Amino acid sequence: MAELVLQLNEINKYFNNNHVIKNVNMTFEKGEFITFLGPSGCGKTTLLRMIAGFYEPDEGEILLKGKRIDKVPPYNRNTAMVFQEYALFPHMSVFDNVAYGLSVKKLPQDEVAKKVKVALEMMQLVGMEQRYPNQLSGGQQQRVAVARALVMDPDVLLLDEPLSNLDAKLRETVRVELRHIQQEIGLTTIYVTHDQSEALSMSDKIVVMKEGVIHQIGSPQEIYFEPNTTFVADFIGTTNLLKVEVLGEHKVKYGATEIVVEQTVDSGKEYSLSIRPECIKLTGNAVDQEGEACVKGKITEKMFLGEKVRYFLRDTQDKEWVVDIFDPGKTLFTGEVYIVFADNKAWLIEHNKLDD
Amino acid sequence: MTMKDTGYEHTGWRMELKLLLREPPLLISILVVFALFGIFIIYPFCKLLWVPTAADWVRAVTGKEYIQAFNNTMFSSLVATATAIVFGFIYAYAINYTEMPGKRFFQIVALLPTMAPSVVSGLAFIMLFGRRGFITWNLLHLKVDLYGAFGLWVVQTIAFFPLAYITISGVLKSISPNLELAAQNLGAKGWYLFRTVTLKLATPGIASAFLLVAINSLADFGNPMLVGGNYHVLATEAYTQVVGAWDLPMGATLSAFLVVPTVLVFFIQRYYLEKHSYVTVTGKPVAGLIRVTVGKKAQWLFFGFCSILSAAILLIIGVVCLFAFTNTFGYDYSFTMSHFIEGVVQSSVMKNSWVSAMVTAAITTVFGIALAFLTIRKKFPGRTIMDFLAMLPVSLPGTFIGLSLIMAFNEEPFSLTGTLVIIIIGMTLRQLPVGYRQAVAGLKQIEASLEQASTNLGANSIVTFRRIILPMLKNSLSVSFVYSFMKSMNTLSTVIFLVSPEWNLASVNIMSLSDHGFLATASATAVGMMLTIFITFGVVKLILRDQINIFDL
Repeated sequence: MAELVLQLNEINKYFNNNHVIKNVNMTFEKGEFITFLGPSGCGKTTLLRMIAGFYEPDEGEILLKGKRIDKVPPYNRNTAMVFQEYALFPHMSVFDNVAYGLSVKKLPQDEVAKKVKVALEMMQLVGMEQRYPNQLSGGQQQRVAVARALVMDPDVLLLDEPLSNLDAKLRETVRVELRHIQQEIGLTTIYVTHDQSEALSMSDKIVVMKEGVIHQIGSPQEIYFEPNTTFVADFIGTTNLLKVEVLGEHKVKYGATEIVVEQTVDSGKEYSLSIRPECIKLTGNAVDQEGEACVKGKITEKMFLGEKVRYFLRDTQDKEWVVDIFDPGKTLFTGEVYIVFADNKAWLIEHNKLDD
Repeated sequence: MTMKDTGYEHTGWRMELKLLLREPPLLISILVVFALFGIFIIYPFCKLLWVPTAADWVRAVTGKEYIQAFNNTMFSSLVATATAIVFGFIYAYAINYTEMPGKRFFQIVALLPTMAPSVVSGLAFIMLFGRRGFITWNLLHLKVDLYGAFGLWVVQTIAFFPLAYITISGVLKSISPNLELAAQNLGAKGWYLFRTVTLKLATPGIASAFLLVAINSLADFGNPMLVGGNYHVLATEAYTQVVGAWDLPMGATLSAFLVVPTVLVFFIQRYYLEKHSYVTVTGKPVAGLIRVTVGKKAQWLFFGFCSILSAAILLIIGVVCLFAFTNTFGYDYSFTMSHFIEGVVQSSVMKNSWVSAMVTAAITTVFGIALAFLTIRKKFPGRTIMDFLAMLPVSLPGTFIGLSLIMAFNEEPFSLTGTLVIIIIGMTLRQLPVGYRQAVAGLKQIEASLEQASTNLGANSIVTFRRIILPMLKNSLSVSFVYSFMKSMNTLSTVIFLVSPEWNLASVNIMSLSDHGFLATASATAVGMMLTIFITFGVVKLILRDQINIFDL
């Protein structure tokens, strides 16, 4: 069992009468890269700021390396943060920005210089020490912000949507670099984003949140293929959610189509099936084969995207479908087709109180 | 869970207090501020209201001459304010919206009167249009008496025009040119554009400027004293009661009456207009867009208007200089330095003014920024009260502040009457809102995330203030330093009750010298004052090496 770094126990937070964080429980192990993912207003930034100490939880406790910190002022926690707008001090050079935290601690000058040098080397900023933030590009500013946090050797590194101000290409590069450095020095990192592709590509663990409630905590694969709630299924990637009726212990029905599922279903409960667009085939004729489900539909719209064609369909129950056909060649489907998917590609989600 | 009890109180004062107790240096600073406010604002003002008896109040509201003075004050300041605002608006519009030649020149000329006490326009009026005025007597050989309401109107209009111009120019600058370009793009032009967009957007700001000028002209002391003649206003009446009749309670009563309209105006401005304003005066200007919304003909009209007004201002300054450096202007035109030597070099008043204004500027700048840091960035019980008290003196007439201070501090344990300290306290109270407001505007432009980043890296509030906030506010601090220095040098009404034979000030000297007919020495003192202010600006600029141009204020 790896060392526990951070624990959040029964955290609740109110802004006036709004209950913005509801009974949050989490534990983080050393060296993990954790992402808080959710739409804006889900409470992910509030949670991050509580760990940094800019907000105080109204209920619950936060433990850093076993010590309670939720009453400790932000400047006495070792939780360096990279801000969304970078928050570089405009009146200080790159060197002074990175050295700031160390000099506040009153470390000897030569030690400060040494540590700053290491951090700048790591972020490939050597030679820019004397520049000022307004003389740097967005990507460079971002690196300085990360260096300024790294140099503190934080117990946990907090990143608040740090890539949202970069253009798409740069975002990808920085993503790889950031993950690389984090793994190299084994730094526990919490990353806040609303961008699911960032979350999926970088994290060891993703925490999916909505309206202050945690919907699921899991690895990127679990989150993507085995969502706990219909919200998670819908928010991560694209999916087709089908409301189904219970037929038997392992059997559900969508319209006239019967689907066999692995999980045991209970006739008293409601369920949906989540089928990813890339798991679906389109055929001109109905397919009647063991282990495969077939639904009749009509193509309403199609988009050629290069590596795939995305079809939008409407089935006989007036439900909209999204289907991705990869390696499509030049022939495109039109008109009435059959939507075919393997039973084991359909993930069953039980409706619970988290889904509205 | 024991936590649950306080869990719902996050934004309440109990939670704020709890957070405050966790950071003792902050708590101490807040207590110190409240203690200072208590001693220097609340206590003197209560004292002033406490001194007059019920009989004094009755005497004041029934006395014919007092009612007359009240009506005179209202009427003259309303008329002067309205004229100054109209002139100020036209001038500001011409500078911000036309491409007329000489804009830079007009800008500088409009600000020249702010370098000298407003009473200098009264002095110039006497010298030009008085009973032995250069124009009325020497040139036109007229025997007219322009003292009274008319003279006061002319003098106050000129005296308060720069304030109106500066404020309205700030409002016009903060209107995004994009809005007017959009209106032009939609086909609006000329008068229609002005009426439907520019004027509509500027109206709340102009109303604020109106009230600001109104407070100043209601409280004006020097000009009514010099050119009012038999036209008495509250400020001069209070002064006569105190200095002439030794009737301190009546002086206090009349000062208190003067406070009623000014405080009313203050509340309207602060709690109504600021909430209904479309433009924030702190907004960053949109660079690079030039708006030209008037035609060629209108442009020359504006040019003519600005030229006439500038000529009037230059005439005032010119006549002051001529009187200062000739033996007896109008009769003996030979050059002399004797007035200057008498009024400036050999007199201690200039040094006294300089020292007290410098100290005041330093205190208001530092204290203003500390106050702003507390009220803007920190949450604690009593924050709005602190903000209110810091802004309140802006609405108080100088005579009221001065009188309340001598009443409060003329006996042990605070026996300060007749010292330089009480002068500095008076000036500081008067200028505090300027330093405070400037710091608030500056702080609001600093992203809160910068401070959070500093805290996150291990710095507490005090370290963050010293290492992040202060350096970033350097420019706006030097503006408020320079401005409050200038205003303190020039203030007359605040210090009129506070000066003593031992500690006299230049602005007071200008007034009393003019009042007693020593026009040349008064002029020389005024010139000395302008020179002192200019030289000080130059030195401050060299020391701070900032980019600030006083003419862009």
